[in-house]
Amino acid sequence: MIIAYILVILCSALSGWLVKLYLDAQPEEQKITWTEYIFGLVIIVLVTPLVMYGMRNHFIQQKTTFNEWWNGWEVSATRQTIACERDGPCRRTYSCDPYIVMVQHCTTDEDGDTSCTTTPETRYHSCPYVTEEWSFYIETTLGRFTVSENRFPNSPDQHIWRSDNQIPADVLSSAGQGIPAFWQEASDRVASGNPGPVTKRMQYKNYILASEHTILKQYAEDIDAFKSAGLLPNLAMSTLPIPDCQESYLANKVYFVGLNPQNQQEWFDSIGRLNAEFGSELQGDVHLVIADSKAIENIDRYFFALKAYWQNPEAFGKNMLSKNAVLILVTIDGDKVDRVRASTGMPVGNEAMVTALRSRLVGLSFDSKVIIGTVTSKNHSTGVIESVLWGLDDKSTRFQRVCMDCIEEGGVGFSYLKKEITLDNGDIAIIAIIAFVVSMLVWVAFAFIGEQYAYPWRDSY
Amino acid sequence: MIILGVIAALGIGIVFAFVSWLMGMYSTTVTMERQLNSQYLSNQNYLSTYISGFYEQSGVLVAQSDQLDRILTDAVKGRYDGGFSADGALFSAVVEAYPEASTTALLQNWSKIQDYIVSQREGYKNIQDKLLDMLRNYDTYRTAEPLRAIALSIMGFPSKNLEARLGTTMTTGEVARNQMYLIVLTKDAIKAYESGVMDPLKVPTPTK
Repeated sequence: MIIAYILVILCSALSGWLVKLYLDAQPEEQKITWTEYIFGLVIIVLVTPLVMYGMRNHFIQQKTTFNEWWNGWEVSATRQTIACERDGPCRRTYSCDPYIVMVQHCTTDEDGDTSCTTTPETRYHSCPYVTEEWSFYIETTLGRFTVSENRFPNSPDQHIWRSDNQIPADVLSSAGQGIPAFWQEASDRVASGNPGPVTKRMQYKNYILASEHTILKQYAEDIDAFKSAGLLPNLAMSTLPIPDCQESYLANKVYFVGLNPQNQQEWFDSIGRLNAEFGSELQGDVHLVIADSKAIENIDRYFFALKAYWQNPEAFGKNMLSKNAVLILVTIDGDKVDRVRASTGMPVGNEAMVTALRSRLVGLSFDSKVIIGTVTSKNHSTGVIESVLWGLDDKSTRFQRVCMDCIEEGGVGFSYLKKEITLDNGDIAIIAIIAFVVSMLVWVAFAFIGEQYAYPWRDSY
Repeated sequence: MIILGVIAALGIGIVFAFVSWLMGMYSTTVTMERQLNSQYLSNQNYLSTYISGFYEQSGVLVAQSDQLDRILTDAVKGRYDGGFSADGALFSAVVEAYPEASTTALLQNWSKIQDYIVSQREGYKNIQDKLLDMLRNYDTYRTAEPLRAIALSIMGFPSKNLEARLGTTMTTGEVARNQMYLIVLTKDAIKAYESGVMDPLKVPTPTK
C-alpha cells in the first residue's frame, strides 16, 4: 500500500503539472498558478492516505464478511388486501382516461439566450384492473418472508374495476390469483399450533476463513480422492419452495453418502425443526452427514477432508461452513450408528459438546427420532443430538457460539488475524485509481476557483 | 523557489507517511503483545479450571493431592494416549492417588469423567494451537517485511510489554516469547523428536 501511495502522489504531481502546462497554453481564464500547484500537492499528500485507508478498510470488510444460516420458526401467516382506485396503490394497472397538459420546453442558443415554447401533451391516468389486490406474507422469528404480492383475488372477473376493460391473459398469469398454496399450508401449520421451520442466509464476520496464513483452518490432502469417489456432498444450498421468491425459506441439512433411505423427507423435517429451535435459542446450525460405514474406510481422513472441503472458498465462496455450524458425521452399519465424528465451524470451543456427541451417538438405531429428536417450538424431545446441544443431561455440553472480536465477551478472540488479511493486486489497483481520481479533483478545483479569480490582476507566474 | 516548494510539499508527505507508518506499527505490535499475554494466561487458567472441574465431575469432595493433580494434568496434556476406559492406565492411576472411599464414586461417574478429560484435552490442544497461531502472526508481522523488521528491531520489539507470567515469576521480551513457544509435550513425544524414532503405540494395561 505504501508503494501504491507513493505512486499515486507521483502520478498526481505529474498530472497536475501537465494540466498546468496545458492550461497555461490555452486562452481560457482557468489556470493553475505555481502557488496553487504547491498548495494542491500538500493537500493531495495529506488527503490521499485518508482516502486509501478508508478504501482499504472497505475492501477488508468485504473480505471478512461471509454468509451463515440463521434458523427460526414460522410465527403467523398474514394477508393484506389493497383497495384499488385510479392512480392508487395497486400494481396491476393499465393506462386510461387520457388528458391534456401544457408543457414548457426551453432551449439556450450559442449566445446564451433562452427561449421557451409551450405545447400540449397527452398524459394518461393509471387504472387498476380489479377492485382489490392481495398480498401474502409469513411472519417468522427471522422476520417477514414475502410469499406473493399484488395478486388478483379469486375469480378476478367478478372484481373488475371498470366493467368495459377485461384482464389480459399475460397479466392474469403473471399476477397470480387467489390464495397461494404455500401460504395456505403455512397458515394451517401455525393455526394448528405446529409452525414449520425457516432458514435464511445472513452475513457475519470471520477472520479465520478470510486469513490465508492461519494454522487454525482445516487442511486435508484427500479432498480430490473422496470427491472423485463421489463421497463429498455439497454444503446445503437454498431451496426455494416459494414460487418467484428470491429468498431462501428452507435448506436440506442432512446429507446421505452411499445411502438412499426411503424416509429422507423425515430426516429433512427433523433437522429443519431441530435447527429452527437451535437457531432461535442458541444461534447454531446443525449439518448432519449420514454415511454408509462400508463406504468410509478411514473416518478421520474422511471427516477432515469433508470439513476442509466445506471450508474451501473455491468451492463455496462466501457460503462456506460457517462459524455457527455444528458438523456431525455418523456412519451406519446395518441399522446402527457405528462411528461418529463431530466438529464446529470454529477451531476452538464446544469441545465438551463434540466429545459427548461422539460418545453418545454410537450404537443408536438409524432413526431420526432417536438420533435427532422431534423438536417443536414448545417442547424438547428425547433425541440425543438435541439433548447434547442443549445440555439437557449435562450443562457443560450446551452449545455456545464462539465470538470473533470478543469485544463484549472479553478475551482475545481472533481479531489478531485482521492485520494479516491482505488485499490482492486488483483491489490495490482500484484503491490507487480512486485515490488518483480524488486527487485530480484538487487540480480541477484550483483551475476553476483558484487564485486568479481572487486576485484577477495577477498573472500566472 | 518553485522547486523548493515542490520539494517541501513532497517532503511533508514523506515525513507524514513515515511517522504514520511508525506509529501504526508500534501500536499494532504492542496490541499483539498484549493479546499474547492474555492468551498465555488464559491457557494456564484453562488447565487450572480443568483440574477443579474434575473434582466436581467425579462427585468427590476435594481430597486433592499433588499426585492426583499431576495425573490429571498429564492426562490433558496427552500422557495417557491409550484411552481412558475404566480398565485403563489413567483410571488405575487415579484410583491409586484417590482415597479409598472415593473409588466407588469414581467408578460410577467414570464414563462422564472420561468424556470430560477427552474434551478438556481437545480444548487444551485447541487453545495451544491458537496461542501458536498468535505467535506465528506476531513473528510474521515483525519479520516478514525487511523495512518493518529493521524499524521494529530498533524500537526494541519484542518489548517489555510482552509478559509471560508463571505464578509469581514473570519474564518479558524475547525471553517471554520463547517461554510462550514452550508447548507442553509428553516425554514420549520429546524422545521421538530427539531420536527421530517413535515406537508403535501400545494399548495401556491396568496397573496393579
